[in-house]
Amino acid sequence: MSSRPPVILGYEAITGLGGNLEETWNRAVEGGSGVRELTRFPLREKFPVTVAGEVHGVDLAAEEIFTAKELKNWASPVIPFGMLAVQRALAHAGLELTPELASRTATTFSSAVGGLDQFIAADRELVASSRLPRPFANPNACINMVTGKVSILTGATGPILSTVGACATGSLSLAYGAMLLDRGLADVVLCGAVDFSLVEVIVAGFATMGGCFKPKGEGDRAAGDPTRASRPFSDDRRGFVVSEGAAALILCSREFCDAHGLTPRAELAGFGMTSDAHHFVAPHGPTITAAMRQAVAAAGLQPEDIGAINAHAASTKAGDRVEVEALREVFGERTPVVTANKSQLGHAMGAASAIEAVLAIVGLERGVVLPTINHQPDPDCAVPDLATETRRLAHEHVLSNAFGFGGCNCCLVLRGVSA
Amino acid sequence: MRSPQNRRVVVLGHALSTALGHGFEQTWSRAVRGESGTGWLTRFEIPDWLDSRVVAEIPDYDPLGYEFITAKDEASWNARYVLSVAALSQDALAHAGLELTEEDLGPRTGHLVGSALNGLDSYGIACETLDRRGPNRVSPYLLPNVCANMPSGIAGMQIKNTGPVFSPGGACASANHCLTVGSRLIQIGEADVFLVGGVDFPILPPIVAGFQNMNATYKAREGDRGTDDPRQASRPFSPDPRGFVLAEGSAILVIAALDVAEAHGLTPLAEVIGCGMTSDAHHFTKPNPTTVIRCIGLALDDAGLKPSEIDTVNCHGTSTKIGDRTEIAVLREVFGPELKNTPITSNKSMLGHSLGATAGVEAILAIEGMRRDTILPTINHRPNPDLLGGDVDVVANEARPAAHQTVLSNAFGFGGTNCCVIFRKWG
Repeated sequence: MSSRPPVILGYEAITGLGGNLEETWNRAVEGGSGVRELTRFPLREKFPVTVAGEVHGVDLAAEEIFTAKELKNWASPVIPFGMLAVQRALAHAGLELTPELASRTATTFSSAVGGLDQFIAADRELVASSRLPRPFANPNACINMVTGKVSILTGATGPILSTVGACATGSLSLAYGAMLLDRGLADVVLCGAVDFSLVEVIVAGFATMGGCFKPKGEGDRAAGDPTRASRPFSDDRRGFVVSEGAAALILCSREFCDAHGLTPRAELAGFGMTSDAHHFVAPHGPTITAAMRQAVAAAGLQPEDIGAINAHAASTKAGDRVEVEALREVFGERTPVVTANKSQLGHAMGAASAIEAVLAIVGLERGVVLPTINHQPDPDCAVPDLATETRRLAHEHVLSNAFGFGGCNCCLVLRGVSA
Repeated sequence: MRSPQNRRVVVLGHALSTALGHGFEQTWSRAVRGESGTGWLTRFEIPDWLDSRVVAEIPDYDPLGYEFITAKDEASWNARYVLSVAALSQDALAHAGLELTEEDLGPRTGHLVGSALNGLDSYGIACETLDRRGPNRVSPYLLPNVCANMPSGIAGMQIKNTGPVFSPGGACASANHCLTVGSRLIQIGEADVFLVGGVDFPILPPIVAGFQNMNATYKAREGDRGTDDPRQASRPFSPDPRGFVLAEGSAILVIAALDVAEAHGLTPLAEVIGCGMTSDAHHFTKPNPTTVIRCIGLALDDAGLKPSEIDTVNCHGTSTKIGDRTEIAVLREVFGPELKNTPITSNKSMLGHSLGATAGVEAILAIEGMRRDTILPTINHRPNPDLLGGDVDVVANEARPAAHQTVLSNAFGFGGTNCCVIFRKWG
């Protein structure tokens, strides 16, 4: 059992900004956008959504860990992209899972949406031609299979669990991983999340529920320029941009890290988890405030110790406003600098909070706060100090927020260790 | 982080829906008589290609029977797991004798419900709508319906818990995972109470077809006893297992820190004394004896028990050839000569396999079995000396009166996820 905060040894992110973390980071620092025209499926006439954050530039077939057969069987992109992210994060951590270590390694790498694309494919084929689904159809659609395939890839035989919690899934995988370490049930945890939810029926559902960005015509900034569609905290924000992505983080106990002479890259200093018990999608101030406070308190800190905030900020009308109000409630007039990665990446669902945790850690290491692009001030949603351009800022603690559908909130406090 | 605490965790209440009936009394009264809940599929018209047409459907659950559920709710939440969890959460909390308020326990109560397939029924409907009526007619409730943590979210709107919520996904072991995660979070003080459980409503054409094509589920065949009489399709540990029977199910348990239960004057039903979790890292569906053995060992260590101190085993026992064979081999390895003194049973013989729900259903039946000095039967059982030798005591065909204090409840899921939980009778 450990009373000291666990540490992050390595990480990786695959996003709409780049097929790996370095490319993602470099383009993010430049203020780039990963949002472009939606191409994942042919757009039928009057399809309500036309922009997305798609992952390009990764040639899975060229990756050593996959055979052609493997890629054919595991047809849902969540599975190979999840595996690839974890494999790269392990390499980044410089960690080899020997048989002895593998039995003490847990897997919490998860997905919010999972391989539903394969369920839909099977359903369509059955309807169209009465052809029975391939034997891999149900395993692809089983939400914990992403986690299972990561375990099979790495050989990790410790506890395994998918921490499915909508948009907070990635953060939850870290929080639950920390608990496994705290109870001494593992030494290392493979954390993170993946989602590739640009599937026609899902995107249509996001549109009809009024959640995601829909083009409004010529008057909109994003008309002709999809990169301007995601604009958290802006006066003309009109919903999130659905995007794809994966991010993995290798978490271990401080004792394990020290005993093996490994270099920690950050500490997971604290987390807070609450549920809204309020409405199925509308955000709720009191419980997200409580989640932030719990995370800060669990890290043994006061609000003024937080140097930067990586906001959930999905670019929805109500969500951004409630988050700003909650930040004011927790931090008052001394709200630290805030940034919203989703302005550049769109919203990668369960993977978003994992990607944002990775970017927040790199920010701690390099003394950088990434920009919130496309910002146009909104008096009703005023952030005291929003990083609208990349900012050099040495900071020790960053708060990373994630609030999901169903009223599922998870906030993390990450501490830099380089200073 | 908070310093570790070691609070004891107890079970205070429960609620379930199974193929034997909605509600505990219906299920238990029929199970104790050795009745079967398996039968011909009625959830959709049986197409020509369907061989796996014996299933286990919940016969009598009607969401509109709950006061807080309106006809509009029923139409909006067309993934059946959502309202089922909301309804059972209310029932389980009432059974526990707890009421949550903002001042008392609400902020300290979490909700963890796992499901293997979640809201796929809603997806199926949306796919049809998209094809027939276009993208703008897809339900705005589609995404909320398929969000795995939504059943807990909707339940929370009724029962007013604001502690940690997510959906621990562990396929057929999901409910044991929820029990384990909830127990750990209570132990370390992250919460005082959890509603935990599992749910699945998987009887949908592509899912039934997918399992059929995996050769995982029972296929009807002329001359087979399960086809002559569909109640005999699920027969774990018999000489003729031919795959599991896909089932609907839903189960919620209320667990709490013992100190909190005592402070509220509540008497526990049982204590959660040990949990073990391992991953196979082996194959996506085939079981792996080594890691399953370690999983049971971890649960025993956690409970501080020797195998001989386990009084009965509630098996995973799905009625697949390889699964049943592996579980018996594992039990032999763990229990050694003690196995012959440890009666084992599989509730799936009566209830089929309700995937994410099954471990929750089995936990409830195992706990109530201890309280009622009864071990439920493994029905449809025929002697199987090849598999069971002389050292395995299956509680065959009839419920067995037997006082017992501890039970090991096994659950192993696709993706190689194992989770075993040990309960002790209270008092």
